Amino acid sequence: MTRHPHAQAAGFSAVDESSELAAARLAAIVQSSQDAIISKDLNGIITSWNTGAEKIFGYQESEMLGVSILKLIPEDRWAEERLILEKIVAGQRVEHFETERRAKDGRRIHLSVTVSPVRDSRGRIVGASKVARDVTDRKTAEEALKTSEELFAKVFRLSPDCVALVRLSDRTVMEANAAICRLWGRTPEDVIGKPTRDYSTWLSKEERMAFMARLEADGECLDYRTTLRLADGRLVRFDISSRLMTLHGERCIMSVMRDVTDREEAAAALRASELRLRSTLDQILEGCQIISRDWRYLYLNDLGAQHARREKPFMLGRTVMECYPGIELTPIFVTLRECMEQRTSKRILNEFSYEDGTKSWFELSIEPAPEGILVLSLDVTERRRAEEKVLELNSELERRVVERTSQLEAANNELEAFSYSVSHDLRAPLRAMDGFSQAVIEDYSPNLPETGQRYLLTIRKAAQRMGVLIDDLLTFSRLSRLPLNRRKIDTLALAHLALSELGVSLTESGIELRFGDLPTCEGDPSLLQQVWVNLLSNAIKYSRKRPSAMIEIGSFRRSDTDVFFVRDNGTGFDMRHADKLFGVFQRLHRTEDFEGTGVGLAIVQRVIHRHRGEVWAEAEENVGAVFYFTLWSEAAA
Amino acid sequence: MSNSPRRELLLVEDNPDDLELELRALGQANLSHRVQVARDGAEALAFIFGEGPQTARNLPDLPTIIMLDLKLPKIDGLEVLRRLRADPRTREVPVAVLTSSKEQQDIIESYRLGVNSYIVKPVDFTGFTQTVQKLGLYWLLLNEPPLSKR
Repeated sequence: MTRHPHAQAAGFSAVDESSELAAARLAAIVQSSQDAIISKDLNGIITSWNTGAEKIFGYQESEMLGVSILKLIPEDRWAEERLILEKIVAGQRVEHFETERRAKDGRRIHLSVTVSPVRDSRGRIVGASKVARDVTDRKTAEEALKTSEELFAKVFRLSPDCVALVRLSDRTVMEANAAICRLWGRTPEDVIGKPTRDYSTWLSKEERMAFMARLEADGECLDYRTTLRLADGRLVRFDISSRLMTLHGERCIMSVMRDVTDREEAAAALRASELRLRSTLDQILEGCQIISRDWRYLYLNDLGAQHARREKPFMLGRTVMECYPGIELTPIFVTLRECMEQRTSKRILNEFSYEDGTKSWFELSIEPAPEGILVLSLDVTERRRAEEKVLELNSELERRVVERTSQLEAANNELEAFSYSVSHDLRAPLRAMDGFSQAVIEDYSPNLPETGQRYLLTIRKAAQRMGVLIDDLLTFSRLSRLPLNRRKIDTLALAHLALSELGVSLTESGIELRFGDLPTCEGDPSLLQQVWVNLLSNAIKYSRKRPSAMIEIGSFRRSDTDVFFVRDNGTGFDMRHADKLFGVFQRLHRTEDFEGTGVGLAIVQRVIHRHRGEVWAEAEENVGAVFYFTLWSEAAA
Repeated sequence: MSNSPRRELLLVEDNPDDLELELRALGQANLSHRVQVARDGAEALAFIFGEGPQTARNLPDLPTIIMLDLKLPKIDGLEVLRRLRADPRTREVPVAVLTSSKEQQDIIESYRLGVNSYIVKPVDFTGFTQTVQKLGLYWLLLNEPPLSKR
């Protein structure tokens, strides 16, 4: 084996001087070559190893001479070596064979390998010369490109934005991503090769021309907002970014379009909503103030400013303390601060004092707001005044009621004192009149003419009648003053009680009595007994003169109320005078015919009215009379 | 019975007309010599208790019956009754109220204070005379008082 198999392999003769020079030159080239130049025999044993090989594989020449070439080949590619050797033995070359080899540090290196047969002087193939170029970098770059292309393709396909590549000359679609196909409602197969105007058009030709001019001038046009009309007639707002590029020798426009219709609508809706809110705040019937966390007025509606009694421009941006010096010391500020710091809501009634000394009442709602606090104020001064007025009136009314009550009490007391005095003092003179008249009759009757005696008797009768009148009046007045003592009453028993009180006159008169149905009633027993006594005594009195006097006591039902009645077949009366029947001291008959004071029926009416009942009468002269009455009861009410 | 008849009936009456009619009625019943008249409450109390009503002397000459009008000047009848019933010495002296008042409040108050009888003066003279006579006769002749106070 020679040290320079390449020289031999290249066919130079060592004996030729010029050949020697050539061989030296060749050796220099081999040594300085960046490529690995390696020789091996037909058994794959390395026979030469240049500097390029050292650099590419990392092995020194001394390490590799006499070593099998397989050391450089990854096990999975050993088969390659056999094929290469077969070709060499057959006298063929292997050119630009791309494969992988293993470096000393274990790296796999991409190589482009050219292998040529080496012949001896007799032309026999004795080995192979291998030139290997490290193509790892190129390979990596290629792979990076491929990856990047894939990535971009993915982005292109998957981008939510609409992306299209369009040929400039005739605006034919060359590429279209899923998003734009979706927008157009087509598949990529549909659109590619078709003009874009089939799917979307500009609204104005001038605008499109201007856009294209800018694109031509600058090479790109970014974030241009316009409206395009789609094939189905829809108008869509787009942000368009386009760039001119050359692809496969053709000028193209790459466009990315973003549908901003929704965003614009949302923004418009937001603006409208804010406007609406603002105008609502401006127009609500409450004053509205928004105060920032550093106590500045951020917002005031008209009413808010009005409540503050300041101009809006003055207040906005100023702090509460600047607007109202000294407010920090007032309770309302303490409340505001509490809401501001603790983020709580409060509703309070506050009397606010203005600088000029006037005061107004406000109902305040304080709510935490993102900016600070929101204060809603309702001027309730008028309402407060009205309430105060009502309170004033009420207390005035109460005072008057108390006054009136005490006046009434005084009047009542006076009335009682009066009745007492009447019962006591009015009777005494009557007694004297009666008594001394009688004394004169007793002591001096022999000296007194008959007429004189008759006069004295008349005085006595008058005095006694006056005594009865006083008694009846006192009874009448007492009936109005006594408290009503309601309870359930056996009406029949009560009527019998009244009759027994009148017993004497009844037996005397021989009147026939008839009892109808008498249900229980509810009322004051002693007062109602007085009613029965008066009605029955009247009936007896006015029917007494009848040859066959008859009195009927009974009742009937009239709209859930019991109506009681006392009927007689006595003198009766003229119904034209019925209105006078129940008046005090009103009489429909002469005293000579029928005794009486004219108080009895007034008492009856008073008692019935105090029971909230009704009393009325029906009569016919010389035929008889019926007195009816009802009693109010809780069951009927 | 002593020679000078004891004034056993104390008639307390301020109205001169009533008084005359009452005395006439009692006279007709032969009782006028046994009657002592007081014209108001103060006079009645002075007669019963002597000049100083507070002196704790024995009261031997207590009336057998006191006929008491209610409406009296100075001290009214109910007050007289109250003082009589408040003093142990006069607690048991019979008192009959003879009045014009039919008022329940007077009747109730009188009985509450321990009156022995309550009579309303009738307006009619005959009735009045009979009432006064019956009252005097009943208390002076028919009624038997306890002996301890005699």
